[in-house]
Formats: sequence, structure tokens, C-alpha cells
Amino acid sequence: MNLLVCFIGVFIGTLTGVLPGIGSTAAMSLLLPITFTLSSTQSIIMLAGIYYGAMYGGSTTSILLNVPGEGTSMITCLDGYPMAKKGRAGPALGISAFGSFIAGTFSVAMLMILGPLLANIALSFGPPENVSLTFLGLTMVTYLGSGSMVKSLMMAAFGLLLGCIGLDIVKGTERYTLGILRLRDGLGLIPIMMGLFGIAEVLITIETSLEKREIFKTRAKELFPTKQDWKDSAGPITRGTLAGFFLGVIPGGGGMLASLMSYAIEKRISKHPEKFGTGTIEGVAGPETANNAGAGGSFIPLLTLGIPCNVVMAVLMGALMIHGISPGPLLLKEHPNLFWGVVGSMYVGNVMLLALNLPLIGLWVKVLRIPYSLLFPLIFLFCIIGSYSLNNSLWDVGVMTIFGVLGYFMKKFRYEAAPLIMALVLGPMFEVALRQSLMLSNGNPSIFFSRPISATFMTLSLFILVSPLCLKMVKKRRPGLLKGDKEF
Amino acid sequence: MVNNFFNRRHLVVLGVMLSFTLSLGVCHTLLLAQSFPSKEMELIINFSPGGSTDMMARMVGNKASKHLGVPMVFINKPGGGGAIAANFVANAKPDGHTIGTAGASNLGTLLATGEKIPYTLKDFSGIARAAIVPMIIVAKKGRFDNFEGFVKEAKQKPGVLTFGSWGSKSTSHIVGELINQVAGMKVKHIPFEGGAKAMTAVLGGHIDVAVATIGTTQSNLRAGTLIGLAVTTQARLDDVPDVPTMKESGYPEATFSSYDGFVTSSTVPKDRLEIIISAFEKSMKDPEVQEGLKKTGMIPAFLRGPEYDSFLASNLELLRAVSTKAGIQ
Amino acid sequence: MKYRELVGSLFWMGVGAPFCIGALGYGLFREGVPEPGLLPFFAGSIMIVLGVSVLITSVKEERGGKTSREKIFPERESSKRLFTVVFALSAYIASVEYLGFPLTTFLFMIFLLRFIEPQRWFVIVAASILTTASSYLLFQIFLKTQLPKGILGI
Repeated sequence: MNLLVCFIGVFIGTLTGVLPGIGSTAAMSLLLPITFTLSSTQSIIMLAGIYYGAMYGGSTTSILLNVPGEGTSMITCLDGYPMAKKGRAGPALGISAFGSFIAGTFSVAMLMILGPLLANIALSFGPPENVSLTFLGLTMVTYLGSGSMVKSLMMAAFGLLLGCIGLDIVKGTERYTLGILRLRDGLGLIPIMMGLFGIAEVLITIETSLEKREIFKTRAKELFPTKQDWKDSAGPITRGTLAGFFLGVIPGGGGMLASLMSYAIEKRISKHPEKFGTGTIEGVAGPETANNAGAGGSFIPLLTLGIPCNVVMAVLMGALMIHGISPGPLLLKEHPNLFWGVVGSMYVGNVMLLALNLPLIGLWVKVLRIPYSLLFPLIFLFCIIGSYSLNNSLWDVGVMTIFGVLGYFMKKFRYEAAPLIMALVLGPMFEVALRQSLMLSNGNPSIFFSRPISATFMTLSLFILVSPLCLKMVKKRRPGLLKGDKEF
Repeated sequence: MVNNFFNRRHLVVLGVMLSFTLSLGVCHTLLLAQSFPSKEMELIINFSPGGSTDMMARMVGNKASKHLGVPMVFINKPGGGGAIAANFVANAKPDGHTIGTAGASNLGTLLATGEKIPYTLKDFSGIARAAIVPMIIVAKKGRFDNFEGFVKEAKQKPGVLTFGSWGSKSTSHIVGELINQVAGMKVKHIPFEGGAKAMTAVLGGHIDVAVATIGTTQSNLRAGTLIGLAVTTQARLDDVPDVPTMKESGYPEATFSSYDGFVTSSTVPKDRLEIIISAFEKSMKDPEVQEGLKKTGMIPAFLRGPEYDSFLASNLELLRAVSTKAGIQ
Repeated sequence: MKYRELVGSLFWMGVGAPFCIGALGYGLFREGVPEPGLLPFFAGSIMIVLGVSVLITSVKEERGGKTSREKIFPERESSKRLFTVVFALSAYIASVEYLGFPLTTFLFMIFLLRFIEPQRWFVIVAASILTTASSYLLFQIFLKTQLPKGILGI
């Protein structure tokens, strides 16, 4: 029975993950009433399955259509979609599925072994640590662009600005809301993302006649990853799993930071960084793995401390409470069946998802064979429904449209969208944490360096910022000193 | 094309049939107007699915739907701290088929802190108060022994101790300032994005206390990682019987809990409002509903429509007074 | 190329400027703690400064003869297509709450299939009906997402 429930969960999760905008939260909330009839263990198994499944499914639309199904899947678009255009959608989906499987299994294992310990480490992340962590993320934002760095920075700055629109949570003042009630919540990450990536991509593709062109190389070269792909992906998958998991444990860290870090790391240590953005397998393997590891990691604060670190976990917590169970430090002691049942189901769920997604790859690749002239209205339709379903409001659809047009012109003028999105996500987190920290320290900035964890991340960030300059200086003075240095 | 097909007799018969149908239609509409509700009702929930307000709304709403005899459609319209949904309900058709959730958020703190909100309390008629959400002051285990210890240290070091809320200008923020005011303390306010983040900060020792709900803190309270210093209800709570109330600690003015309930537009005619109120009253009396509410950390506390109106008004006054005094505007 | 960079950088500078100005109204610093205006002011200034840099770089490139003439709209059809899509999307948003999801979607599909890359009528109608029906089934019935209902109640 548990197995059946698990399967239903992952199936629905994959389905909703594939449909852009309709994320796991919506699906979970819709199925919440059904869980009343199930036992508590079964409810959590099903809901967790939905969450996992959505993670797997979200990457599908990112790769096939450049529409990020969830926030965390955005990075996958950067190299996944170019791969699809080159006829390599199969390998992209395959590596993504395997990487997610490895990450999922790993994070469940770690949850079992190190859960409580990690949770306590996560608690030591206060506002100053959040500042340095998000600052680190912001310094890596420029790695997302494959073009002019100056323009990427401009887009990051714009993302910061967009993130400021709305109610300032620290002081309660409205910023840039022009008196519009809707704007108090800001513009919304998902509509902006769907516009800049999904809609804009369609607009660019259809601007020239579709007739004679092959949008996606239809003669798919291979359906599954090649040996070379596996070799290339081994490293990214390993690094992505580790990075993603630990970032997922930190409350508020989450999938986006994990996938960003993974992408940046892979690009930084790659022997051919300039190929990132054109369809490298490392650019898909790393981030996809990282965000699944992050998903697994985010269960830890909930199951060991009773703290939900994102919206999905909050829904899970609500479901548990309805069944009379409040997750927290006593969960393992009081309800061992539940705990182990859930952990077990995560293993099984990962296997099921792999088994479910692999055969589907053939199906998805066939989808790309639909003539683009028939496909693109479908893409629009799904994006409209997806953005509407976020808040049952046409406002989000409108935001998506506007950013779609903006994104179209941005592509034409060579301004990248990825840094914008990343800054949009990290900016508010950084700003809130910064002000909280300075409120705690009464305006004394040394708080960022006096605490060990925070100091580590800050130093790392500053190093990353400064190192290209150092490299340049060294190059100027001793031209032959550095072999194979990378020009930014 | 008038030809001999349509002669006078046919016209008369046609005319009679038409007027018959018309009068049937008029009667039907009149009858419909008498029987309320005549179609499905819409319950606009002001927060996203999965949250406590959403669960409360669906629990109570489903039962009420049975008493009303029509399906209840739940529509989540989150945004603006609950203002979007409230605005929608206030401006809905006055036929009584649109109701919504409202409480300390959209008809409380939002109106109390001088925000530019396009509605006022007068635009709504209360249907029922459903629940009280008590608040509790928590601290990390070992930090303070009890509430007195906390107050003592706060008075010794004004502006040094910190308290966390679930957002600037939120109920927890205002309650925190209320406690500051009545106890004569100057505990610094640090806002967080939600109760979970505030609780994390307390557990990690980054802030001294937090103003939170029972729902978010119960598991840690039971495990002993957090201790409750005081609760803001009239009487001690069953979930945490060891935690004294603010009244017992000597500050009866700091008895304030968050609240949630149902309202509709004030343009709805009184007779229809009555029908809705009695359906919700029956629903609230249902033991299943009461159990469900308790499980999500809320206390079922039914108040009939007009009483909810005055409750909302008096609480709004209190919120206004505290926030003005604390400078939260 | 130069013209494009000029327009681009001016546009982004134009976006950054109002944010900067607005930010000043929110305050920058108070007792060592940043006020709501600090980050927007900072970010807006970056946009302006970098915009100037892009401008200067492109002027330099133009002088150095490194320009290329790339049209903004590669084909004559391109701008028409853009406007058609924007029109379709806007019309959808404007009418869906009156006409309801199924009808609006149907019209939307027909419009796009006819006016962007014209298909045969049979294909247009068949595809429109099929997608409208299946999306309605999938989203409204199966997933129970709350799609807009029109005046007619569907």
C-alpha cells in the first residue's frame, strides 16, 4: 500500500513538474484533502513523492522548451536547451535523471546518518552567515553569462532592483509599488522567469520563417548519454551532490543557490569554460544533481527540528499536523515508523522516478518532432495556464508577457537573463540578512568577520572577486608565467 | 419572409406561448431570488494553499457547504498580506454568494499601520470568527528561566536584547511592542520572513526571544529545545500547561491573540447574511471541525457575525494604539 | 551595432535612474543600518555607471571600425509577428474572464495558427479543438486548478 501511494505521488509529481508554473506546492495542496483518508505515514510518502517527482519533471521542460518548470530548474535551461537544439535532448534528459537519482539517494543516506548533526550545524547559520553565503552567490552570478561581463553585471543590478519592488520586510515600507495593491508582493519570480526564458525564446524562434528550418535537430543523434558523456559528468555529479546537499540543509539555502553554485564551480574548473551556454553536458549534470540533492537536504530541518525551510516543507508540516503529528526533535523517538517509512520511501521513490523517467525520454524527444509551428502555441498556452495558476490571477500572466517581450529584446541586444534571475532571488535574501545583521550588531560591520562561518564565506567571496584582477596583474607583469589562464 | 404561413391565428398562439414562457422565467428568477443560496458559493481564501488559514477555511467551509445545500468553491487569492482577497470580497456582487476569510492580517494589522489599503472595516459584514491563534514568547532552553528573568535582564540592558517576529508590522511585531510597552522594556525588534525563520534564529541563539504561534513551536517546546516564557491568552493552554499567561505574569494588558474568521461584503442583504451565519454556526459546532482546528494549533472560538464585527473593530483600535505608540506607521 | 548598443545602454540607464531617485526617498542609512533605499540606490547607480561604460566601449569600437550591421528585425515579417503575438496574448488576458477558459483558448489557438505561420484550415481547427479540450480536461478536471470562468459559466 505504501508503495502504491509512493508511486502515485511521484507520478503526479513528475506530471506537475513537467507543467511549467504548476509547481509541487499546488499539487500537494490539492491532494492534501485526500491525505486525510490515508494514514500519516502514507500521506507524507505521497506528498514527499510529489516534491521529488516535481524536481525530476521540472528539468524536462527546461531542457526541451527552455521553460523552467520551477525556480530551481532555471540553470538547467542554460545548457540543457542548447543541447536539445543540437539533437542531444536524450542525453541531457538521461544524465539529468541519473544525476538526480544519485543525488536523491545520497541525500537520503546522509539524512539517515547525519541528520540531527547537520541540523544543528544549520542552526548556527544566523543572519550574518546568510549574508556571506548570499554574497558568495552574488559574486558567482557573473559566471552565468556567456557574453559581455559588463552587460551581465547590468542585468544582475536590474535583478536586484526588481527584487526591491514590493513591501520591504524589514521596515514595512512599500517600495516602488505605485499604490498598486498587487505590487506589494513584488513582481513574482516565476512569471518573470517564464517570460524571460520561455516566452522570449519562442518569440526569437518564430521571428524568422519556420518553414525551411529545423529548430531541433530531428535526427536525434543518440537517445542516451554516451560513454564520453558519462566520463564528463562524473565529476559534476559528485560535486553537485555534495554542494547541493549541504546548501539544502541550511534553512533558506535551497535549490536555486545550489544549482547556481554547481554551475559556477563547473564553469570555473572546466577546461573549456567558453563552451558553457552552448550545450555542455557538465552544465546540465552539475546543477540538476545539485538541486535534487538540495531537495533531499531540505527534509532534514523539517524532520529533525520541525522547521520548514521552504514552502513545500511548510505544506508537509501542515499535513503532518492535521494527522496530529508535529515534526520536531522528538519525531524519531515518538514516531519511528513514520520517520523510517518516509526515509525508506525516498529510496524507493528515487528508484521509481528513474524507472519512470528513462522510458519517457523517448517520448519527450518525440515531442520535439512536432513542427514548431504547431508547438509554439502550445508552449504559450502552458505558460499562460502555469503563470495564472500561481495566484489565480491574470496579473501574473501579464507580468510574464511583458517580461517575455523584454526578454526578446534582451536577446537581440545581447543582455543575458540568467544573471537577472539569480540576482532577483539572491538580492532580497542578501538585503534582509544584511539589515538584520547590522540591527543585531548595532551597525557594526565587523560582525561578518568575527564569526567563523561567516568569515569563511566572506573571505571566499572576496577571493573570487579579486582573483581575476590578480590574474590580470600577474599576466601583465610576467606574460609567460601562467599557462592556460582564462581570460574573462 | 412573411407569407400566408403565418396567419393571424398562429401569431396569437405564438404570442401566448411567448408570454407564458416569459412569465415562467420571471417566476423562476423570483423564486430563485427567494431561495438563497441558489448556486455555488465562492470562498475566497486570503493565503496560499496549505497554510493554517487555508486549512481552517476548507474544514469549516466544507461543513458549512452541507448546511447551505450548495457546493462551496474554494479560491485562493493570496497576496498583499491578505488584502487582495479582502478587496475582492468587498467589491463582489452583493448577492451573498461570495465570502472570504479575514482576520488579524487583512482586517487587523494592515488597517492599523497606516498602509494605503483600498477598503475599510465598514466594507465588510462579519459571518463568524472561527479561531483564535494564541501567541507565545519563546526562548532557547537555558537562556532565561522565566518571564520575570527576561524582563529583569531587558530592563538592565535596554536596547540590547532582541525579539524576533514573523514580519515587520505583523501581529507578532505589534504584540512584541505591546509587551515592551506594558512591561516598560526596550527589547529590539528583528523582523524575519516568517515564523519558521524566527524560530530558527532563536534555536541558533542569534536572537533572545521570539513571538510565535503554538503551531510553529509546539514540537520544540515538547522536546525541550525551546522554553515558553508566557502565552498571550486569557487562560493557560492545554498544549503547554506549564507556561504562565501574561495576566499571571502581571501584565494583563498584553493579552492579545491573533484571530481568523469569515466575512462577506457589507452590501449583502441582511436576510441572506443570516442564512450564511447560521450555516457557519452549525459548522463550527461540529466536533470534527473543532478537532481539526485544534490539530493545526488554533483554538476554535466561534463568534456570531455581529459580535465578530465588534470584535474586529475593538481589536483594530488596540492594534492602532500600540503601533502608533511604538512608531510603527 | 553601435546604434544598437547606444539604444540598449540608454534604455537600461533610463530604467536605473528612476529607481535611484525613488531610493533617495526611502532613506539610505540610519545609525549604521541600511534603510530601504540603500540597495536600490546602489543597484541603480551600477546600472547607470555600467551603461555609460557600454556606451563608451561601443563608441570606441565604432571609431576603430569594428562595427557590423545587424538588423534588429531580420525579416520584414519579424516585427509583424512580434506584434501579432503580443496582441494575441493581450487579447487573451483581456477576454478570458469574460469568455471563459475554453472559448478564449480556442480562439487564441486559431489566431496563432492562422496568423504566424499559416497552416491549412483543417489543421488549424483540429489542433485548436484538440488542445483546448485536452488542456481543459487536464487542468480543470484532473488537476483541479481554478481556471477562469466566463460569463457563460464555463
